[in-house]
Amino acid sequence: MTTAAQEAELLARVVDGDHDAFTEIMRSHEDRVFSVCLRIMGNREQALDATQETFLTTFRKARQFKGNSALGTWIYRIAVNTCYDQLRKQKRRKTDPMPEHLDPADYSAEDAVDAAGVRPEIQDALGAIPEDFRVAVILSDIEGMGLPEVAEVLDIPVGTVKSRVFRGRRLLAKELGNQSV
Amino acid sequence: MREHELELIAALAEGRLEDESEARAIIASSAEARAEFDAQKKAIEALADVGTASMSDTERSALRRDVWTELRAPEPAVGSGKPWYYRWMPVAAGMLVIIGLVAVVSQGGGLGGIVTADEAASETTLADTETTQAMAEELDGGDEAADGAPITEEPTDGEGESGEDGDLGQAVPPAAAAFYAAVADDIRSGEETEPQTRALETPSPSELAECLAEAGLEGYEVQDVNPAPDEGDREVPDAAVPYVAAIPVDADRTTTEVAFVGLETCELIHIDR
Repeated sequence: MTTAAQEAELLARVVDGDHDAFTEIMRSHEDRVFSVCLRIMGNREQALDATQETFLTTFRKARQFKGNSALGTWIYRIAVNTCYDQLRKQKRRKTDPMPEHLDPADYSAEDAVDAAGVRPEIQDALGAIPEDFRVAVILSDIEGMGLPEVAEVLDIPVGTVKSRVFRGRRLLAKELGNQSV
Repeated sequence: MREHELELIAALAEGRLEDESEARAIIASSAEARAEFDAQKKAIEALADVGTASMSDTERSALRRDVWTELRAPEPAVGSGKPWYYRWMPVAAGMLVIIGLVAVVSQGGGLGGIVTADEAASETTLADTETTQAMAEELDGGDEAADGAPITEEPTDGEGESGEDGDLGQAVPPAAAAFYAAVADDIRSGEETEPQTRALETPSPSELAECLAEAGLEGYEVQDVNPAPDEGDREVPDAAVPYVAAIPVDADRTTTEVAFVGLETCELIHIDR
């Protein structure tokens, strides 16, 4: 049985109310969803919230999955959109959109690595570049997705992904330069 | 720098070129190309040791527990939240009382007029109360009622209450209303059929849908988005705020009402009809 067929069967079981099937999907994707959310949000607590929301949405929209992309790609797209939503809500609430270092959520930092698991200067530099570029760079250069997969996740053309990644790196380098890293 | 050159430079920085000669030649050919290569390489190296993150066991357990708790919780009744017009009800009631008083005084005058005005006010208040109760009952009555778009749920049985949008219209200054009317006309004439995007500030479609839902406009579709009103040669009044304009999904475009929702607040700010 192909992976796509397995995924389709799993989702069909979820739609039929099979909780074990959904648990299986969660187990397969929760770490990567969390990782994507953590890099985008820059804060463990917010990333956990976004991860939870992602799986709730996945469950509720399971019926809408058409199988045009891999299940993982679909879930990461939900994750990215969830993070975008949460970032926008933060802006609406006029709170600081960027992470606080050493967030206390189950994190025992003992060195100069912050709650996002990234050196603070890198997290700060990532946080300083515009959202769209940041997300493209995160998916490509941190999560290791190929450009076509990034394009699928973000639902934009591959050429746009390239442009965002290249420009994002350029801006990141500039920010790192400003921080004299 | 051309796209092909940029791609070669990025590929060189990523270390995935078998034959680096062309890329190296490009870098050697200009300071700009050299700077681009340095920037790409610096960013890639900085991110190289970041790696993917994972949850702790505690976080993982909490996540699974919270997801299942949420999924097993009974779904809240659709539309159980108070719709936007609830907040306008006291204002509408007050305005009806005033309108009733003014109408009676202007017709009758004198002490008798005042007495009549009191009665009229009482009747109007009663009518308004009945309308309010009817709306509340409609909301409490089940999902079907709550699913309806609130714009169409304005009171229809109360004479003189057809100004639900009129109240909203008065809520924005005339200059802003005129501006929104002009935008609405563009939408009706098909000149604003695509959301006006601004790459970095435009909300995503899901955010816009959420914003419309927050404003009580479920069943509406986005027609125009302006994070910062800037309509080219059209003068934008100071009172106009960043907005998303939407119309009912199945409406006749040429005659439809156009609702404007503030992007910052996700509150209904104006309806042009």
